Amino acid sequence: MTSQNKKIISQILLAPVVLAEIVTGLALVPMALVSIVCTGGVGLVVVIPLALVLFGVVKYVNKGIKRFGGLIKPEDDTANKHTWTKTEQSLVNYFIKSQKEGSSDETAIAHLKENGWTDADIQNARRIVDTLPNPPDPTK
Amino acid sequence: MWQKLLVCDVDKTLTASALGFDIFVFIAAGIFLFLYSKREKKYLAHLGTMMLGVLIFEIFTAPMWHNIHFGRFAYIYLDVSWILTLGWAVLLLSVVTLVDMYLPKLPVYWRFICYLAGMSILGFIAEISVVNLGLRTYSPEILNTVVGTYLWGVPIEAFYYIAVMSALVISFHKYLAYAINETALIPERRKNHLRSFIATIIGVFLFELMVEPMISNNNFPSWSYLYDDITLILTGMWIFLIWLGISIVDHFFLHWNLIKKFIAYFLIAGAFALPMEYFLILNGFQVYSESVMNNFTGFVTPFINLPVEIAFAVPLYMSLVIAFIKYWELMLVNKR
Repeated sequence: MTSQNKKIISQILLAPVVLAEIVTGLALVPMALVSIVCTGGVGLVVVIPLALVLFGVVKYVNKGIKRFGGLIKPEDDTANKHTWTKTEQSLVNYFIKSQKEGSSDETAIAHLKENGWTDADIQNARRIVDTLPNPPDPTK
Repeated sequence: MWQKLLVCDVDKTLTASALGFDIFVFIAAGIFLFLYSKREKKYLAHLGTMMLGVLIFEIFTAPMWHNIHFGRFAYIYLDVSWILTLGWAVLLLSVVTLVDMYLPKLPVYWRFICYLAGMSILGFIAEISVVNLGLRTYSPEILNTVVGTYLWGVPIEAFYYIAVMSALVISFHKYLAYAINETALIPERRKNHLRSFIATIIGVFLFELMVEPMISNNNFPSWSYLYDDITLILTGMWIFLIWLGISIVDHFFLHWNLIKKFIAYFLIAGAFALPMEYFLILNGFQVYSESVMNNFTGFVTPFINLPVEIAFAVPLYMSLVIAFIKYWELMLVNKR
């Protein structure tokens, strides 16, 4: 499949997501209005933070949609990030968080093995963690 | 157009009993937060997620009950009162904290059952208080559905409603608490799809049973009706849709953090749920009760002319049910 076809398919798949986002987002406007008018302004306490959160989410989602739909080239915004596989990234995040919680590596490795991860996957992730000068924040 | 806003005309006159209740909630919340802050560093974030969960639940179940007399300052949307939101959130968080504190050795799923047991009793007492203080009444649809056994003015079914509400809201809070506390969660190498499917069935079915008085499901084949007007076809479609959305995200975005994943579950499941809801309403498969219709402001969404309340309720419903499913999945894998 050519990259052009992939782009078209991913954009078609994303169309209902974008449409639902627009419809729900626009539905919020009259609801916010009702909240503000009905409560004599008290509703603003909820409406303002909610609007800010939603604005952030929409901005974030749209960036993801553009990237997924091939509208942003990966090198545009990932130049400074590690190019790990999904497996590496999830295992590295797990090791970093476990360390932050004070768990030993042995415990973390035992948990991963219990959940079907292979020694190769675990050792690979462990090596990456050891080579990180400043481990990335796993919550980001 | 402005006449549409008259729908918010609920009786907000502050009564003496309501004032007493409001003050009681403030004091209880103050004492709780003082004690909770000694145990939990991010106590405000935890209270915030619990309040958000309660608020979501209250907004889309608003037509089922009417909250009156709390005072003009106490409302945030139609008859949804932030004082009740705060009260429920403090009660839920207290029960969760006490169970976690005193039964730390109990397996986490048993602790969850303890949360629900505690909430059913304490929540029922809270419900008796608001009903007898004249602060809450029930919609005719609820009163028609109940079997007719009342304890101090509260239908016995409230035990079920409170347990379901608690299950959904506590799961929502616990899911977000994993993110707030940056809990190390074991990545799932091979997702247990059967477990995920069972969690989805439980989440959707419990919820459908609860909101059943608000919606009639019509024109489905008679064999498909499981209980009253809950139909296997529709409930099955919701289950499949939500389960599929979750499975897709978990498969392709294993490495994403909990919040990113939650937004993705929500967007994928919601993107298909909204047109489906539109189709069901348009073709008479779903008819909303009179109390729900009375709560509509009359505003509709662009493109598909769906009442805004429904367009908004669908993602709210999704967020609580998805959080329930995902919390159970994560909890069973991580045992924490």
